Order: sequence, then C-alpha cells, then structure tokens
Amino acid sequence: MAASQPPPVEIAPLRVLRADGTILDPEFIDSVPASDIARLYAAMVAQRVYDDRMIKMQRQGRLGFYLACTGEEACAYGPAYALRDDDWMFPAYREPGVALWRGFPLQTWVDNLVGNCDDPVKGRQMPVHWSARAQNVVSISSPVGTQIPQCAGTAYAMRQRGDDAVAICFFGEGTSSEGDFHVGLNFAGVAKAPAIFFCRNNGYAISTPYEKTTATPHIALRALGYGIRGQVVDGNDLFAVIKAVREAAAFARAGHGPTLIEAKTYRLAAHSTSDDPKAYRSREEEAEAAAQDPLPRLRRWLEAQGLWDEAREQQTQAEASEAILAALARAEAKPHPPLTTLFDDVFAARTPLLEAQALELAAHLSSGDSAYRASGGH
Amino acid sequence: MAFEFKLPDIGEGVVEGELTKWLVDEGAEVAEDTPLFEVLTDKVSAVIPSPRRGRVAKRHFGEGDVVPVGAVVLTIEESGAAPTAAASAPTAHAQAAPIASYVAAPAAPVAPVAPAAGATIAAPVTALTQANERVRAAPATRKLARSLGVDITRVAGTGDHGRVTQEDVTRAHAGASPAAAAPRASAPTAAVAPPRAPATPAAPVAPTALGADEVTKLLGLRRKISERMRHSRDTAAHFTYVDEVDFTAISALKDQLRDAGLRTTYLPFVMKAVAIVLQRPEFHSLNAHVDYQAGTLTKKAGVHLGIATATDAGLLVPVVQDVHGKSLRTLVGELSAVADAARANALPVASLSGSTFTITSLGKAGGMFATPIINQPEVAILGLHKIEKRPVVVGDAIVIRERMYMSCSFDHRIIDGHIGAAFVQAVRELLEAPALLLADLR
Ligand SMILES: Cc1ncc(C[n+]2csc(CCOP(=O)(O)OP(=O)(O)O)c2C)c(N)n1
Ligand SMILES: [Mg+2]
Repeated sequence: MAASQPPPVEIAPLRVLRADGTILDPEFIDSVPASDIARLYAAMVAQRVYDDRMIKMQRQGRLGFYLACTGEEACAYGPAYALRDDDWMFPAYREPGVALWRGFPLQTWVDNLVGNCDDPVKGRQMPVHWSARAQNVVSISSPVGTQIPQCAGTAYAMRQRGDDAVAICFFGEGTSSEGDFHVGLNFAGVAKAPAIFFCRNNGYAISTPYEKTTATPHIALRALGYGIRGQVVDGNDLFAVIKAVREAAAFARAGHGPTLIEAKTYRLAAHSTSDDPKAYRSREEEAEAAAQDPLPRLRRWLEAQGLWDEAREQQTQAEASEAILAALARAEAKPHPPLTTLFDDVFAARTPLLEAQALELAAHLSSGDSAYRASGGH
Repeated sequence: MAFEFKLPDIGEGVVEGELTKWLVDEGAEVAEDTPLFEVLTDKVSAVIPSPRRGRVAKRHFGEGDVVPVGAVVLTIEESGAAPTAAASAPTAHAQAAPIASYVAAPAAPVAPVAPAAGATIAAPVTALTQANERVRAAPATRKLARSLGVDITRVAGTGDHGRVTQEDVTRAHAGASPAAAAPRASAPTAAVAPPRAPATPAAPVAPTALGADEVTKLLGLRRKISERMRHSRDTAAHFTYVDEVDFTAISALKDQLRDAGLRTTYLPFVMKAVAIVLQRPEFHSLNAHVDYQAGTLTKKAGVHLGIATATDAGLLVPVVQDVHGKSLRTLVGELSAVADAARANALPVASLSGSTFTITSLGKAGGMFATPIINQPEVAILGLHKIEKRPVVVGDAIVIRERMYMSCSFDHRIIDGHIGAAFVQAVRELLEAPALLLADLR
C-alpha cells in the first residue's frame, strides 16, 4: 500500500508578535477582536497576581504546596481562547488558566488549593490537582504524561461518535520523554484522532535542562515519527499560540488527525514551592529569558493600540489581588470535608471492607475521646 | 492575641531548615506579608512572609539554628484582630503555676497530678532527669567512665556542645585537670558535685583596652565549608607530596606576553600543564570523582579545574570548564572574570560545581608549602606557593633562578604514591621546559 503524503512538520517557530510589541502578521490580528485581546491580557496579569499570592501563602504555612505558571501564561490562556467550550482539555499542573478562562470559579479553585469542604475533590488531592468538570477540563494527574493517552483516547471516542469537538492535552518537554507520550501520539496518529498535543517547552523538567532529557533539537520533530502534523510556535507570543491551536483544531475537525505543537517558552519561576532554581541555572540566563516574557510583549502592543495603560494595569492588579484575598479568606474560614466521606467515591457502592471501616470510624468519633471531629473543622 | 508562627514545610517533606537570617527585630511591627526571616532547607532557600499583622513579641531561634518543621519560630502579638474561635484557647503563658504549664489541657477535670503534691514531688524528678540528659557522651565514653569509676555527671565536657570525651574522662580519673573536678556548668547537680572553688579575691587587674570575646555562629557558607573540609579529612587518606619547580623559563614567557599586551599570572600556565598531564592515560585516575558508597571511581573525560578563591563570604571554588581545550588567552580572560565575580559576590551557582581537579594558590602569601585538603569528590589537589628568586646549583655553579614549591595532596585510597609523584614530576617537566608545553598546547 502506498503511503499517503505525510502531514507537514514546521520547525520555524510560528510568530505573530515580536518581542518589541510590533506585529509580523497583521492579517491574523484582524481575526481576533481587540476587546478579547485586552481581556486575555487582563486574565494573564491576574494569573500572575494569583501565583504570587499562592507562593506567599505556601511560605506562610497556609498551603501545602503550590506551582506557578509565571512566564507561561500564554500557553494556557491562548489555547483556551482558541478552542470551543465543548472541546475537552487535559491540562498538566501548570495551566490553571485553561479552566479559569472558561469560567471555572476562582473560589472553587482556591477551595481546592486549601482542601476545604467545598473542594470538588474533597481535600483528597495535593494542592494544584484541581478538577473542573463543568468546564470540560479533566482532573489533573500527578504522574506526568497520564493525560496524553487519555486525550488521545477521548479524541478517538469523539471521532467514533461523530462529534466535531477536539481534545487537547498539555504537558512539559520533560514529560515528552515519558512512555505515555509515545503511547498517546502513536495511537492518535493511527486513529487520526482529533487531538492536539500541546507541549510547553519551558527549558526545564524541575532541575533537568532540556538537553539532558532529549537529543532532538525540537520536540515537534517527533511528529515525523508518528506521521502526524508538527508545529513549533513561540510560546511567549499569545497571538502565535492562538493561531497555532486554531490551525491544529481546524486540521483535526477536518478529519486529518492530530497535531503536536511545541511552544517554546521559559519557566521564569521555580518549578514549584519545593524547588530553588538558584541551584541549577544562572541569573544571566533568567534575565535573558525575562526579556521574552509574554506579558510585557503583549502590553506593548496593547498600549500602541491605545487599548491599555498604566492605570488599567494597576487597576487589574488591584482587582485581582482583592479577588484572590477575598476568595482565600472565605476558603480558610470553611471547614474541612467531613471525615465520614473518607470512604466514598472510589467504588460506586462501599465494599463490605470499607463499610466495616466506616462503622469503626463512626464508633471512634462518637466515643468522645477522639481527636478528630466528624463534621470536619479546623 | 499571641499568634505562634510555626515553621511550615516549605518543600514537600522537608523536616528542618536553617534559619539563616532574621529580617525583623523583636518589638518590630509587621504587616501581612512583611518578610520575617530567611530559611535554608535541603530543597530551597526562601524568605518567609508574615501571615499576620502585629508586633514581634519573641524570636524563638537565633541565626544559624536548625529549626524543625512545626516548631514555633516567632510569636506575633496580633493587633486589632478580634480573637477567633480557634485562637481563643488559653495559652500556656497565661497560666500562673509553673507545673500547670506542662499540663496540656488547663480545664481538664481529672488532672493526674494533685496540684499540692505536684509542687514538691515534681521538682527533684525534673532535676534528676535534667542531670542525666545534660551529659552528652558517646556510649564508649560512658563505658570508660564506668570502668574507671568516674561519675560522668561530674566531668566537664570539652567536646562539641559540652560533650564529654574519652580524654575528659581519663583526665578526671587521673585528677590531672582542675576542670575535671569542677561541676559541669549549669548542671543542677550541686548536691553531688564538690562546690565550685570560690572566686579568688585577686589583686585588681589593670584595665586593658580589650573588649569582650566575640562569639559568632557558623552560618551558611562557613558551615558548608566546615562540613566539607571535615568530610574530606574524615574520608580521604591524604598524602601530600612537595617538590620545587623552576619557573625561570615561564617567567620569561610571561614577560614576552606582557610586552605583547597579554597580562597574565603564572596560574594559566600551570593550568595548561596540569590539563595536559591529566589527559595522559597514566594520570586519568587523578582527574576523577570517587564515590566510596557506590564503590566507584569515575575518570572524567574533560579537565575542569576548580580554582580555590577567597571571597568575603569565605572560600569558594569556581570552576573553569574544559581547560584541556582552551587557549592560554581564553584562560586569562576567564580567570579575570571569575575574580571579578568573586569580588562582587556574584559567582553564578552553576559555576561552582563540576570541577574534576582543584588548584589552590595563595599567590604572594603562598608561603613555602602546605598540605591542601582535597575538594571531594575529587582525588587530588595542587597547591601553588610563593615564586621567588633562590640560589640554585646548576652544574657546578650557583645561579639565581625563579623557584616555587608545589604541594600536591592525593587521596591515597585511590592514588598510589608513585603515581602521585610521577604526576607532580610530569607537571614540573612541562613548566621547566615550556617547549614541551607548547607541543601539546591546544
Ligand atoms: C511519572 C512521573 N515521574 C516523575 C514525576 C516527578 N515530576 C513532577 S513534575 C516533573 C518535571 C516535569 O517536567 P516537564 O514535563 O518539562 O514540565 P514542567 O514542570 O517543566 O512544566 C517531574 C519529574 C512525576 N510527577 N511523574
Ligand atoms: Mg519543562
């Protein structure tokens, strides 16, 4: 059987907005309403305020853990904007923006971080492993790469059903060297599944630099090996990210199969609150990367269009700060999830063993000498 | 309302952190997010912002202390805030009776100790426990004390944190040291220890301009240096080999280069010579990392030289990478960049690791020779000393030559004596006849 023409792999990075805020591709800009761009920018500014607040919260002992997306905001808000609300999203831990942009309530996000009774996953997950079902965003898995085959399978199922929605998953470049990456992309290629594999190449997998995780100069090149479409994009350029995801979605909806997008960006912050990049990279490197920061770049363009100014910047930051502090105050005032729910949700009905354990706990709680409170509390 | 701020686990499963720096004084007013202190853990170093507003009532630890996660680091007297339900439980310091402060639940109706009896019984018990706990000594030391019939609680310890050492015990046994007879300072063992000698009413001492002794904590870098030096000494079997090198020829080259506009010290020449010799197969084991736990020696492909460098904060060893492949000119440039960065305290952390062999040089203050301590996991270190004109016998004449001693320490576990000696001789040969150096120069 003659092989059909393989889809293209483009390694020249797709770019719309230069670092100085000027435009390379005016045609594309016309396809995005200016008011949307200002809203996206405001959302990314707010995200940075949230991240900053959460890191402080962790240092104060009020959150067990946090992980910021500083410098990589465009890689969450761009795709969320480019896709339809019925497209499924499978984020890693670094893209709260995909859900927040779709209207995931800030309060619920914070309730999850704190792990209180209004946390949709009842305080059973590590902070940052939130779940936004109503937004068609699938829960975050801790083992990296889990979401890649999940996304491929979901996309395949949608195609089988005749839906014209697509599924997108997000992962880091380090994760792309995990076995799940191969499983997901190979399967999706064979099945021509309407999937988008969005790789945030931020240069590091915790402390491991890119060069120590793979010998390929571009993650996107791996698309060749799976016979799928590949595209490198400037991940610090919100417009380019939107454009790349739109094109990939159109390609998938037309039945041509998946795209592997590699967004080149940089993790400006630490990997997480458990990490300290001073131990493995230089201040010079960080300063160089900060010059490519997606936020100031977009702001320059917005200001040139008369869509933004310092007053709006201040106001956006103040509002975000107020909103997050209020949400945190509410979240901290709420009790923990009731202890008695501990036995639910793994099985549809409690197994006899779980039932016995639940009874034992209930007896202990009612005996009066328990250090725990049945109803939750602090 | 007193808020007790406990050290959070700021890095997934961290159990303790070193408090490296206080950023607020006792009595200071703090707002939410005011930076309180800096802490260094196994995973991160971080500034801890205040979760509350108020006045710093007490700092419970000092700089350099290792604070367990969960321990109260500071107490903040909150201002303005109405006591919350959770925070309104009576705190220990509100209790008047000293015994009661050890009883967790103040309102507990069935306190196991009757208050009246508690006051009289508890005291001696506490004193005894303290006496026992205060003695720090290794089991072998205790055994020695028992076998000699020495009451270890009466021996003044001279070790770390007042630890009683075997020497302390033997001295006490021999009654040799006056210190041994004195009670351990502050140990509540007055009943069994001989009374402290009364202060001698000595003749008034002439006042001098001396101030008080100055005690400083071993913090941050100093502590790291201490640990690493100790570890190297404890594990490597150091032997040091010294020989004298004639630098007259290099000195002439150096002058020629200077006249051509390249100002250099002797160090780049030595670096090149060392790199060339280390690349010879017979000396590969000197350009290596040893991992005794894993039982492995990793011979390194490239030569990356650590250059021991004095900085204001203490000794650092920035690394010049790939010395084997660099020109003299490049090395001159890199060394001066390293020196600048060291002076500005701006050595990038990444530049401080990865060396395969270290050179330590004190320049003009280099003295005659030394016994350098190996920069582990490396297995050898070269010390350079003062270059000066010395009379030397050449043929049957006494001539004046520029000479320097080189001291090279090796880890004898890995490097046999004749290999170490041959290495120093090979380096010496190249330095004394720079034509040979040129032959292999890259
Ligand atoms: C299967 C698995 N291995 C290891 C880890 C530990 N871990 C958590 S995040 C991470 C780094 C992932 O790096 P990358 O994929 O580049 O994503 P980034 O954090 O840079 O966004 C690692 C190794 C894990 N969570 N799961
Ligand atoms: Mg990464």
